[in-house]
Amino acid sequence: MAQTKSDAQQPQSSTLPEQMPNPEGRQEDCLQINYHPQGLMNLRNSGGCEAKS
Amino acid sequence: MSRHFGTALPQEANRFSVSGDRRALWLGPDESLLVCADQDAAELHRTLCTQLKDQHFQLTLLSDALAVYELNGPYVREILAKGCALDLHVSVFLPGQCAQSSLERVSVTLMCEVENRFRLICRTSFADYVETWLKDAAIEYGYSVSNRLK
Repeated sequence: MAQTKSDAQQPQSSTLPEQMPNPEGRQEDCLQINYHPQGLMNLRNSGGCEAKS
Repeated sequence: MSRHFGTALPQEANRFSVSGDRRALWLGPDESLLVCADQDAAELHRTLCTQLKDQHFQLTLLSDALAVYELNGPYVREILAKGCALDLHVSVFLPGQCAQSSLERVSVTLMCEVENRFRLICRTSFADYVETWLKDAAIEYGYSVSNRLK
């Protein structure tokens, strides 16, 4: 299948490892990426306005 | 609301209120996103629906639809700025602020918890892409991934 422009712009890094050390050895500069399971709810509230009948 | 959820809905645009592990994010004049511990969501949903039954509201559980990432590090703003048009400068995007935007074409909600710690909320279906993008963007600083979405 031909690669689309959109496909071509995807980061080509699907095989990136779970850890990448800082190139200059400063591990304190690393980004910590932590999936954080949370409960989420969307609340829509008219602020007390009555719904139109 | 604060009596049942633990924190009041923020009245100021693009702010979130905090109480323990709960967050209430302003998404619009009549829309908020409530965040709580994963195991509390179902019970809290039932409680809030009961308590708000006399009000005109809609409360939808989105725990499976949305994924939350915590991002921590001294260069977190620079990394996010590679794919996000928001002004994430430390003097502009302050702790307690949140905003809906896009990160490399993916709709996200960003929350600034403290100066160098953000929460990123995206659709679960885009989580793998977002995680890959974050790793790619963070290569020059180094990164580590913990507790991956399975």
